[in-house]
Amino acid sequence: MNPLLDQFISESRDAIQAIGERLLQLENAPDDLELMDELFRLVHTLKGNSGLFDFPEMTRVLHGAEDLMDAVRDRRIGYSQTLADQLLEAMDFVSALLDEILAAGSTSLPANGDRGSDAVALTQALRQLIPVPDDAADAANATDATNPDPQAPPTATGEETPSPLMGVPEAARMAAYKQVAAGQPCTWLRYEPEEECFFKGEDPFYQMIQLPAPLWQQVSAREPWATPENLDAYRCLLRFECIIPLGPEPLAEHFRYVPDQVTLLPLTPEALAVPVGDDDHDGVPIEEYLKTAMGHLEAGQREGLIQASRVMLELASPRLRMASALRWLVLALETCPEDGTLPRTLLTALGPKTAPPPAPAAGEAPATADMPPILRDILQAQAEILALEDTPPWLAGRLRAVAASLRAAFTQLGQPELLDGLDNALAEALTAEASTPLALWLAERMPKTATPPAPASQPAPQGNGSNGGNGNGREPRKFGRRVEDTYAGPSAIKVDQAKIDRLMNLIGEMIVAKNALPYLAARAEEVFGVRELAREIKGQYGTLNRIADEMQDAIMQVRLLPVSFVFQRFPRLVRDTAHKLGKEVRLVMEGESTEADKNVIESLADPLVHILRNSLDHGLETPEERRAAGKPAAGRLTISARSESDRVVIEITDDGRGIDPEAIRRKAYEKGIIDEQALERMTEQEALNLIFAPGFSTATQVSNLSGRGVGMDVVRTAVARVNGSIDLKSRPGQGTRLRLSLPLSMAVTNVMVIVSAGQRFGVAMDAVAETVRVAQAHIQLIKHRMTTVLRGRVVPLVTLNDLLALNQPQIPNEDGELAVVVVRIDGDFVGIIVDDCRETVDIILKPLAGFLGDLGGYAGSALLGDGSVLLVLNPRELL
Amino acid sequence: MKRILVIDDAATVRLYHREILEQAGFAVTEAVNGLEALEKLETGPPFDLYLVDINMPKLDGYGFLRALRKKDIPQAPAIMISTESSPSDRADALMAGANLYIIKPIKPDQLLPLVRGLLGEERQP
Repeated sequence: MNPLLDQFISESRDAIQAIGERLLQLENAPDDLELMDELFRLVHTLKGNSGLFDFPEMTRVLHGAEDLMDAVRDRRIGYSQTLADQLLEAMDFVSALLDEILAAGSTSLPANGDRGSDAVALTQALRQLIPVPDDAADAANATDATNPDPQAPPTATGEETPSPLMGVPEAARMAAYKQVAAGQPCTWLRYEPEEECFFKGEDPFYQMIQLPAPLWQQVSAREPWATPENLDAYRCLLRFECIIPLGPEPLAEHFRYVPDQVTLLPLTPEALAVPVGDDDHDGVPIEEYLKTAMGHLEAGQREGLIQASRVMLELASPRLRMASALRWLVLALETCPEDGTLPRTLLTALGPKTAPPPAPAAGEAPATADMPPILRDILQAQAEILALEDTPPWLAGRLRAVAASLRAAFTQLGQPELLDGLDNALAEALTAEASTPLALWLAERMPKTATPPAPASQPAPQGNGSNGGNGNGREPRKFGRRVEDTYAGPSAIKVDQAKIDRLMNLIGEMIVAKNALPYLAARAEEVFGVRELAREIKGQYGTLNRIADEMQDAIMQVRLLPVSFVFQRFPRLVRDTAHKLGKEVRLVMEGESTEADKNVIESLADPLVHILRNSLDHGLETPEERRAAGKPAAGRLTISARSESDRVVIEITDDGRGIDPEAIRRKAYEKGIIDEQALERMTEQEALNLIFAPGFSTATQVSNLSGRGVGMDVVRTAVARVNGSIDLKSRPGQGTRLRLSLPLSMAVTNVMVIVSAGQRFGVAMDAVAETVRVAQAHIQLIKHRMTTVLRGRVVPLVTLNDLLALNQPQIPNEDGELAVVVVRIDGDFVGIIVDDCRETVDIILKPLAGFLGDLGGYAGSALLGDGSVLLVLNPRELL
Repeated sequence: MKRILVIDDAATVRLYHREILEQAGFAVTEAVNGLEALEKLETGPPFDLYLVDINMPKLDGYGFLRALRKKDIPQAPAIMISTESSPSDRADALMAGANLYIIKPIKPDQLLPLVRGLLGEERQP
């Protein structure tokens, strides 16, 4: 997969995780402003990242989420349960999409109609939470119109957001203007059906013709049409644009199923009356006219103004922007005689540019007709910066950066000769602590095409008069931190797990290789008779051994993870599950910083989830039941972790109804798991352990949470796979406690070497309770089974040769005693008779591969120091 | 080789810009927030161009630009990259010391001409 996508998925997952955590924290501290800011930033980053790829559904949902969080951050709405639920649901959706992307391994996802409609529904739900500003419902839509769709490719520099109305012919705008002026609301509408709309039963064309007759309409393609042989006729790329004589509300209602595909812009006279055309005066004496016109306007002489304007119109070429402005002026004066605002705006627009830079007289500007728009944008931005009237402490740096940008732009323009005087102008500006000298320098060289567009289409970016004062001491608004704030980021690095696994394997091999040295020393002494060398080898071995041990320890440290890695998702899980079940639960987590090997931690995740669901579903009672039983309404669920020597112990305790051993016993009997005799003899603890039996499920009815056909036997198997054990205690009416005991690390296993039928085998020391020698006379046959009594306890015996189908009797020692390894399996003791017990060794256990992997009786194999292979037994499966 | 500092808290965005710019033959350095970017300036030579995100923890884009422009080092152009598009953001960016304000997501063929234009590289035929 491409590294960018890889990075995207991993960063998104981290963000989603963090969002979940922040939301839960907010639940306890709903007024924490920092948390909200952080939440917003997380969502914002997610959305920004998704925009780099083509995941429209994801971006759509995240955009909704971002807007919602923006409202929260700006305190337009407070934190609420609904909000958290909605946001979590959105994150679940994104998470699922990430899974799909990961599975597909590329940015192109198979089409899926549900996904699209889910996204629309989710986005709508998110947006519904955002309070609509006072004005009207259409304000939200109007905002959409000014904020271009994040999907849409930005303009060359992305800095201009021209009104969509600029694309509408003047005549159509004038028609709409008359309607609006007459009190008939009009709305500009853009409808961009999604590409798969035909597959969702949508009919965009029908939607459009259902509308009242438009004043103007246009259908275009959103991207250039493919050649006929490549054209996918089922992909909708249409863009409908029109002006409808209706207010935005009925239109929003009409498009209520596809609100995110529609942009509505309620029309005002000012928005419509935008003069367009060539920006040139064509030698027409406009100044004289302007003076007269302004005079007429001030004096309220409408007729005179119309008259003067008509004369000007005769003189000017109709394609000029000036002519367009004049036409609007006449129309405005004729339609709304008493309104002077629009004529004034239009006249001002016709006047000399007040915005810098002062336009040089025509003809003097360098010929830069072929100037690329990008360079023009750069120059224009610099002009804008130089027009700023503030004098912040960083003014000098800003001026020098502008000079650097100008130098670069003119160099790239291939006109370095224009750079003459730049250094002087900069020096002058720096001395004067003002932008003016540089602004003048630029104005002389500024191509006239680069003059800023009319004020109507560009909200004045210059901080002038009214708001100029805030430039100086202005602090960053939303996420501002000062430079002096200390940086307290974690100094951790992320490493691919495969690299650490490789290190682990290598150190394993080294330990095995190192173990060959004592054999070598023995051979040197015994076979070759060089005792001196043997001693030196042993000395070297000692050193090597110490280093290897430390190294192994260090690598294991790297692999250690805190259990919080698994625990962190529980608050959400418990919260959601309890929610669905209508129960109240207080979750207590303890010892989250306890560490264990990554593999062990990861293997814990699923069993723990299952146990928690069981506790919530079957263990804890409903609030009513609890009150009736004299307990607090909210149940308590505790998950604790702690280290005990080289093991991690995890306990899940609830104060629920507990497990009734009688019910278990009866159930097990009904299901045929135990026979009648067992039913009678069984102790309560044994009965409880029956819930771990395959095919057992205590719930009388399968609920949609824990009862998914898997029972606690799956949990036990999963725990056993990492050499862990599980233990259950329960008291009816008081609660249940499950205790999981797991090794800290699975990497190195301590095994005892045993001998049987001339072969060596290993047994994990975890399972070995004790080793004893039993005189043959002390072995009795009870019900055809060999047993013996050890410390007052009856222990059944089996011979290893029988278990492995090695057709040989076990060999006793000279005193007629048999070696017995007593193993503990789920609290029961069983003695395995072997020929002899030897030393214990640390080995790197490797699971059997290939067809040997099916041999359940072996846990795996390991290489011994002398190069021989040791098969390690799995007593649980063997017995 | 021209050196560009990419400042963004989103690793994906940093990687995206790095790939575009490195393929075009520029040397890219990354910083995860304004503060780290300032640290890079303390410890190494100044850069030829800065690509600055707005919303970042610790120190945001405005803060970084203001601090950068106060420094007594050769001042290079800076492009501020935002996902928001309100005019006030643009004015704030230019005021703080940006030389250009653009909105993401930005496609490679849009970013590169801007970068070249601000670096004064020879015009591509």
